[in-house]
Amino acid sequence: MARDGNRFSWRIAFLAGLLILATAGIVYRLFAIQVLDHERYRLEAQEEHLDKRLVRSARGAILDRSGFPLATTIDVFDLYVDRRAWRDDPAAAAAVAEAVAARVGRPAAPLLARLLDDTAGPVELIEDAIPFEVGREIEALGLPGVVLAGGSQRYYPEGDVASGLLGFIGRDHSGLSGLEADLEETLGGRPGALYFERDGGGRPIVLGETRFEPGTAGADVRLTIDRHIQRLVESELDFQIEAHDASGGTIIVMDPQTGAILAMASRPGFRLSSLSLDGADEDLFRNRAVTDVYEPGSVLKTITMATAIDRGLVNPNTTYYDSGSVEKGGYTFKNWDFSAHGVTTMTELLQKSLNTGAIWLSDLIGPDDMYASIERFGFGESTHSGIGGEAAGLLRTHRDAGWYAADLATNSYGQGIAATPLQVVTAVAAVVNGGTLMRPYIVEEVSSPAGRRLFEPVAVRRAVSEATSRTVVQMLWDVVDGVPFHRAQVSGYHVGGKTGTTLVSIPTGYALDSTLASFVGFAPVEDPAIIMLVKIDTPQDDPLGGVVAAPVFGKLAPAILSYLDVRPSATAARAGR
Amino acid sequence: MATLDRLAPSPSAPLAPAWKPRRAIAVALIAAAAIALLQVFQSGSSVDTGLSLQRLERQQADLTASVHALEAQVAALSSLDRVERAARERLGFVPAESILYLEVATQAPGGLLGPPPIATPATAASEGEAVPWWRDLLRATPFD
Repeated sequence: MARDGNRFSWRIAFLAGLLILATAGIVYRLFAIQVLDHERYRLEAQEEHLDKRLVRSARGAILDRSGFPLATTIDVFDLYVDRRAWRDDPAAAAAVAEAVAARVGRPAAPLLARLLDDTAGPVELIEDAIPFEVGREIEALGLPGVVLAGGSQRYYPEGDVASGLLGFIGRDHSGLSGLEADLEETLGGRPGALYFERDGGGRPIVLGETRFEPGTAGADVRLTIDRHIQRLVESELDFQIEAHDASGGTIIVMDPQTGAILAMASRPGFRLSSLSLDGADEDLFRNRAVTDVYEPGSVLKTITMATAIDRGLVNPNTTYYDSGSVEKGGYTFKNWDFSAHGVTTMTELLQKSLNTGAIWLSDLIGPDDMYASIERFGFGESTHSGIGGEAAGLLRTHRDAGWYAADLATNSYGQGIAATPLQVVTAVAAVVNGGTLMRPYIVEEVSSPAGRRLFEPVAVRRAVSEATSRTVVQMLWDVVDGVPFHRAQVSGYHVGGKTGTTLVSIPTGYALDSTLASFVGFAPVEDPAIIMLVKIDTPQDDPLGGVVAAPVFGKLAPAILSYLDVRPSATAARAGR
Repeated sequence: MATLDRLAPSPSAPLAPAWKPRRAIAVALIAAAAIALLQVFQSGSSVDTGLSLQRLERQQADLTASVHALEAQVAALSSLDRVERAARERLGFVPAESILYLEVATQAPGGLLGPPPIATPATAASEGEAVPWWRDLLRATPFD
């Protein structure tokens, strides 16, 4: 009998089912890989085959307030050598050394020795920052083993002017200090990217896929700094430090009406023309005008007086009796000249810079109002100028632990309070500009192809009333022009100001033989166009602010005022000094 | 022979032209050669374009570098040090020792500052006055 081939077999069905499942699984897997996960695998393959090279964008320039460049960028080449190119042909290395040395201005023999010395590895940077045309010349020679990489270099047309303020960039062209670092995001822009197909050795495939994503060039930054005033100030500061054998100093010139910083110089510092980061003393890189604090000394009597007048407690003709010393909190405080001056007006208090008078005022004001006023003038907090590394200063009030009653006395004449030079000049500017604390600023404008951003002055808060400001300005005018032979006087202009002489604070108290001599002055009194702080650190020949710092104002102010075309105060024709 | 005759086409029916293999092969070869040549031309054109692009990019880099260099040159020429050096060495300038301020109480004159005109222009009043006939005639000539 013939077998019946149509009978249903479970075993065969089971096997068929298994096969169908397996096939379905394979098909699904293929579908998943090629359709569902297509993008992921495509990107992985792209990553394998494509390489990315960042293309640095042009760095923005830093300009002074008139638009003259203080820091700009030029194109250069870095020269690398691949020693493998002449491993079998040393004569080629000699030819390379000869050709390169002639064009970069170096002797050929040491260069050849370096080319043949492979302890640094097969590939080495031989010469950096070669001028662009020279690089193209070398490139055109087609020398074996020579690779030129395009780059850029910072160029400073004004030389070392504003070195500390500008700062510098590193080999990766990122800002490392100063405004170059503070404004890195603005100046650096955004790098572009070049994607290209590479072979197994990492080399670009000539006809392979390439894609370029353009970056964004850095924006140009225009500062409030005036290059001429900055140069004048730095030159004078260097001269004064040498003349008085001082350890350093700071000068800040500011527009008291707006807070715009016209010049800012501090020493010790560094020079951009001789900058070397190998073993460099990093202390030289900081901008001491905003990072270093000091006790303002008698300059702070301006604030104490303004506070008392603003509270209606005194006027310029109010008197007190100066006995030469005062007891406070178990301590005895004396005037700087160890003298007693008897009946003294408030104006005379400032003219003679009497500590006893300042203490008398602080007693009248009281700790609540005194510290509230000091804080209103910005002490104890950063000015938010935008300059990196700015310190907030130190202020211990009666609300803080460790405060003593004697602190109110010392604080009234500027000891026991630590502030940066920028804080001090900003506070006095608030007294002379009508009573408004302005935020100091150094960036005027940021401009890029995308547009321009102008920065407006910012009024932080009212420190004292306009009437108080007018009164104190008159008193400070009397301090300078009312004192015969005051060294801050400027022929043709009415000048106001206050000197300060502070002992240098040390961990155990004060160094009795070291002072910080300072002066804050402004002119013209009728409508102050500039305010200037001069601080000379530890002058060796004379400790006093009136002798060391005030004359610096007297020397710089005429040049700055005439440069700024500020109308003289005097109405009669006078000859300058 | 009769069998063979039966197999042969009838002499009365016309013969259809045969597609010969040789012709097909020739056409295929020509097509292949054309495609290959086209590819060669395309590759060559692509390489040319790539080289042109490289050349233009290089030109752009050179021009950009020139612009930066010129900007730096302008900055250097207008630098304070250079200006002061030129003022001192080439022009013989020295820093001012004193600054003299003069206040002038008289108001500055209006209009152009300069020497008075040689001939006073005719005023409106004089325009209305009677002018001699010979004066009129003279005005019409280039000699007036």
